[in-house]
Amino acid sequence: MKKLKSTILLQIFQSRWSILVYYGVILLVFALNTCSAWFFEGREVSINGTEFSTAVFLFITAAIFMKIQFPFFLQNGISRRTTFVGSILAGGVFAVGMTLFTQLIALLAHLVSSNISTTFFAIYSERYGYHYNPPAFFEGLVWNFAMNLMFYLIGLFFSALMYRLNRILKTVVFAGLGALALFLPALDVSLGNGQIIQSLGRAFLFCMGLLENCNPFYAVATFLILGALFAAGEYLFLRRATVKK
Amino acid sequence: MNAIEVCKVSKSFGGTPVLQDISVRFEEGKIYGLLGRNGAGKSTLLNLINNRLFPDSGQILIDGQRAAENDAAQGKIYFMSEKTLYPRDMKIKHVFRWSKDFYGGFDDAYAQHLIQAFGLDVNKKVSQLSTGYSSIYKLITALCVPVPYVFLDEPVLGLDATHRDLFYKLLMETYVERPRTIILSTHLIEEIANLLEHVVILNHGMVCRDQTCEELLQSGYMVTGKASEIDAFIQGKEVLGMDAIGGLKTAYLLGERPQGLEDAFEVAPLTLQKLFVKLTSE
Repeated sequence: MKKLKSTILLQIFQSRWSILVYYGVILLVFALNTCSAWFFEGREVSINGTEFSTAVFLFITAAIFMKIQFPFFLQNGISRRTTFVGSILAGGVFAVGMTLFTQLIALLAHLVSSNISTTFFAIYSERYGYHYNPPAFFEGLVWNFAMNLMFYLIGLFFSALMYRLNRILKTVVFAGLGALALFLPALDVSLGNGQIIQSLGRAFLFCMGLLENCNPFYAVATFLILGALFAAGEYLFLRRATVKK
Repeated sequence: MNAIEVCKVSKSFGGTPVLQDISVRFEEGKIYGLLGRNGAGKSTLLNLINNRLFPDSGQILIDGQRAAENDAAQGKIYFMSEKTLYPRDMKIKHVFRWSKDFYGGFDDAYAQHLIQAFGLDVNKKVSQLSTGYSSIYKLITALCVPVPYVFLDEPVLGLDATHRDLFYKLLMETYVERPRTIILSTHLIEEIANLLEHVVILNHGMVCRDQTCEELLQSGYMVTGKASEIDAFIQGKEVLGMDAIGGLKTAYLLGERPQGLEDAFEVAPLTLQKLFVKLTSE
C-alpha cells in the first residue's frame, strides 16, 4: 500500500511544474482578455476550449508515462501490477484536480462576464434553458471529470502500445491510422454513399447524449466505458513490458 | 537460510540463447563477484533477478518468495545498473528522497557523508552528470537504502582511480558495519579480487565456476621456467593455458601443487584475473 501511494505521489511530483505552467498560461490569457475588455468597452470577456485543452494536456502527460515513470518504478522495485494500479489512480487524481481547477476558472469567467462559453455548456445549454446555473456547473464537473480521465487513460494506452512496438510496427500503426483517416471518407463516399460516416456521426451524437434530450450522462457513461477499455489495453501491454536496452 | 535462488533459468533474445539452464545461489551476508566476458549473460541474469526481464523458463526466489512481479521481494533488493532508469530531469536530491519513499528508509546522515566524500552536487539533474558522477549517485543510493541484497553492475564505471579507491574502502566499511549480500559485476577483476568471498563465473550463458574465492584460487597454480622444461612438466596435467615470452613459458595448471616444485621452477598462486582469463578464453 505504501508503495502504491508512493507511485501516485511520484507521478504528481513529476507533473507539478507542467501543471503550474499550464494553468499559469490559461490564467494569463484570461487576465489579458479581461484587461482588453476593460480597455475596449463593449467587448465581451470569454474563455473557450479550456476543457479540451485540459484533456489534451492530460493525454500528453500520460503519453510519456512508459518512457519516464515506468523505468523509474522498475529501478525502485515496483511490480508492473502496482505500476498499473498507480497509473490509473494517479489519472483519477489528475482528472479530479484538473477538472475542479478548470471549472473554477470557467466559474471565474462567469463572474467577470455573464457570457459563459465552456464547451460543456455550449453542447448541453438546451438542457439548462440556456442559463448557466448550479446544475450546469455540477453536471459539467462530472462530464469533465469523465472526459479528462478517458483522455488520460488513452494516453496511458498509447504510451504502453508505443513502448512495446518496435520501430517497424510503430510506422505501420501510424501509417495505418493516417491512411484510415485519409481514405475512409473518400471510400465511404464512393462506395457506401456516405453511410459509414453518417452512422459514425449518429453513434457519436448518441454517445454524447445529444439524441436523448441533451443528456450529458450518456457521454459520461461513454467516456468511462472507453476509459475502462483503454485501461485494460494498457494493462495488456504493460504486464510483459521489460526494460529496454 | 535467506538467499536469492536462481533455479534452472534460461533466457534468449530473438532465438539467441543468452542464459542456458542457469542455477546459482546468492546467500545472505556475503560479497559475490559475478564475472564473465562481454555477452556472457551477467547483466541479463541481474535484470532477471530484478524483475526487469522475464525468464523463458525456470524460477527465481528471493528469501523463498517469487522474484517476478512481487513488490515485497523486490523491495529487498537494489540494483545499480549501468543503464540509468532515473528520469533525466530529476535532481539527485530527489533521487535520494524518492528512494527513501520506495524503499521505506534511507540513511540520510551516511548519504551526506558520502556526498561530501565524493564531492557530488545533489542539486544537479541526472542528465547533467558525467559518467563518473552518474555512477557515484547510484552507488550512494545503493549504500544508503536498507536492503539485504545489493547488486552493483559495473559500479566504478567512469570513476577515476581516487574515487574507485574511496568506493572500495566505503563498501568494506559499510559491509563490516552492516553485513549484507553484495553482488559485484565488473570487468576490473584485479581491483575487486580482494573484496570477494565467493565467485560466480559465467561463460557462454552457463555457470563455469561457482565457488569461494579461496577455493577457486587454490584450485591451481602457475609455473614459469624454460620452455622445454615446462613442456615436459605439464605432460599429463590439466592445463588451463600457457604464456610464452622468449625462451620462458608460464603454464596455468589446475590441481594440487606437487611438493618441491619451487626448486625447479618459479611457482606462484593463480590470480583471479589470470584464472578468469584462462577459464573464459575461447
